[in-house]
Amino acid sequence: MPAGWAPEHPVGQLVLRVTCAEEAALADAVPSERVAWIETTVALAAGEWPAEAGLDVVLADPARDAPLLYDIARLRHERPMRVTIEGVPGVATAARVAMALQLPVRLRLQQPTEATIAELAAVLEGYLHDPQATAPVEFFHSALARRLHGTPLTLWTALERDPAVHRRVADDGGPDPRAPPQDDGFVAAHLARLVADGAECARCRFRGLCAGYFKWPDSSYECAPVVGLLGQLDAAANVLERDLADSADGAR
Amino acid sequence: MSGRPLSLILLPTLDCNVACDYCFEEKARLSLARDQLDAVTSAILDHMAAQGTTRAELYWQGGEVLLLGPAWFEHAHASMARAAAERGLSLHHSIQTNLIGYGPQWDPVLREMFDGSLGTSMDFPNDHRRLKNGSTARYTEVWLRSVRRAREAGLAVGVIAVLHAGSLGVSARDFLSFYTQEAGIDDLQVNLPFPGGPGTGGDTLRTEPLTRFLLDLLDVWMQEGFDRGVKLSPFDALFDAFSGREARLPCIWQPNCANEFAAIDARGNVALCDCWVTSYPEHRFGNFFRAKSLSQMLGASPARQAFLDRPKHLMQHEDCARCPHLSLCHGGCPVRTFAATGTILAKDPYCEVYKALFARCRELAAEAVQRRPPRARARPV
Repeated sequence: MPAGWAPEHPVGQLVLRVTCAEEAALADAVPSERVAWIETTVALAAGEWPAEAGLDVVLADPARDAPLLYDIARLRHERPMRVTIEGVPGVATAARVAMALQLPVRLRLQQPTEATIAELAAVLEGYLHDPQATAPVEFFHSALARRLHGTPLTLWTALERDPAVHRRVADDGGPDPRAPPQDDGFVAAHLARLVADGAECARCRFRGLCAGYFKWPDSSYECAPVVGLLGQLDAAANVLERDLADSADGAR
Repeated sequence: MSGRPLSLILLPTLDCNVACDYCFEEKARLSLARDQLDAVTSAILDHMAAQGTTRAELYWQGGEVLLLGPAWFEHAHASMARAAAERGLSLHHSIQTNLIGYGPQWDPVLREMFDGSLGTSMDFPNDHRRLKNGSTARYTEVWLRSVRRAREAGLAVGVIAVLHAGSLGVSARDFLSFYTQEAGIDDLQVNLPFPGGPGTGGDTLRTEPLTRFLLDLLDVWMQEGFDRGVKLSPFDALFDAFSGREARLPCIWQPNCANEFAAIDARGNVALCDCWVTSYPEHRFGNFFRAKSLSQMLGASPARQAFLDRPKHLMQHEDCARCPHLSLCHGGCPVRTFAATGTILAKDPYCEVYKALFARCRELAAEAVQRRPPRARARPV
């Protein structure tokens, strides 16, 4: 939520959104034990923040903002830090820079275009094979964890868009109209509706992971390109699984 | 506390006992007096406190540091350790010497202050390192004798080899063998030259023959050195990186070296590293003896800010952000860039050499991983 709305929400952990210097001062007034993260821009990231608060640095224009990560990468030694990158053109370049600086990444995706998915494939290649890419890239990291360890999660939770866990407050203090409805049962109901309507989800092998994530807000979104991306991730999981099985055999 | 160590390069003397014709340093018969060292120590400790770090790594270089004599270092070690301990801080020391003036009188302080290790420098073939009488052959003899004596005294000796045009005319096998067989050193770092300062003969090397030589050297090291535990930087660090191990990549490939280092010379001049501090006055951060504090100087220096801004500029104006090797290189070394192009706002002139090395190390590391037994190969997510 915008930092100024924190007093209206006296219970629970808060992710404070700070987009200007005035909001930064408001964030400083929130008791630090209630602040889970500060979500801010790359231009403001190097400011003064409550001690120990994590920073989620949002790259709204990835191509423009990515070089600026070099100005703030050192902050990861002072507090938890993550980079959220909008799934728009330039996402691959920004993710490459963030990974090169060993910064955790969250890809903020909502029904990406085919061109963006091609960029996401390049991000996945870096995440899987770049020797210096040691920090998680979400949702790839959670998807692998689900596949390899059975971690019970969906893309909604991995990308922090499940309203049962994360609720997004708009600048006017009301529910953010760009976020899913603020209903704890939204994800299950959304998926059930898609299946009942005969959407691709009914036959999709990634339904458990995706839970209709890419079919929102437009249920007619064509999933084939994104299924291809998930397939690449699945193939990588197969290789890892095989190596882990070999490892177990070797240990016996 | 950030927990990250502070790294400082100290040049307590600008005097030197040899006459290498490609040296980039402006030498002078000038050394840091003991009272000046106390001031430097206080400033370092103040800066550590300001940075919230409890550990500093100090790299002692020259000029030629052994000209100061063992007593100077014994005093420095004791007084610096005492001052640091009073503030709950720790200082760790490394030394880089040409070894020409080395003798057994140095062994106690090398063991005490430098943990029994020293770094030295030698090229093969030695075309540029000369004694004051101009002889390269005699220089090599004296150096080899010193290395042998230091090793016999139980000291660990590492060597930096700067490649030059003559190096590219010898075989990689002969090159490696000179260090490992003739000198008996199994810890070697290969540096690429730059035509800095007043020196001559350190010209930027052409991409094609340099790449060929380094790839040959990499292959020879894999065949004859790797399994015997010979460390050859930067190949070993790249090998670690591509094998999924923690890698200590050299300073030329740090995300932003201006965040990592500063150098202080015997005049009190402060700059990015030893390559800059004596030779490029316009790129200095300031003078330590005239500044309020080291922290204030570093924070306010436009010259330092220019270095800090360099990687960002490269991402905007070069092809680095699209390079698959970005995470290993970050645009490379500013001094090699400046010496070759006259600006720091360009990528490293050895870019294509680095790319060839990265690609080959990646292949070799993958082959090595495949040769390992499965248990050693898998790494859980």
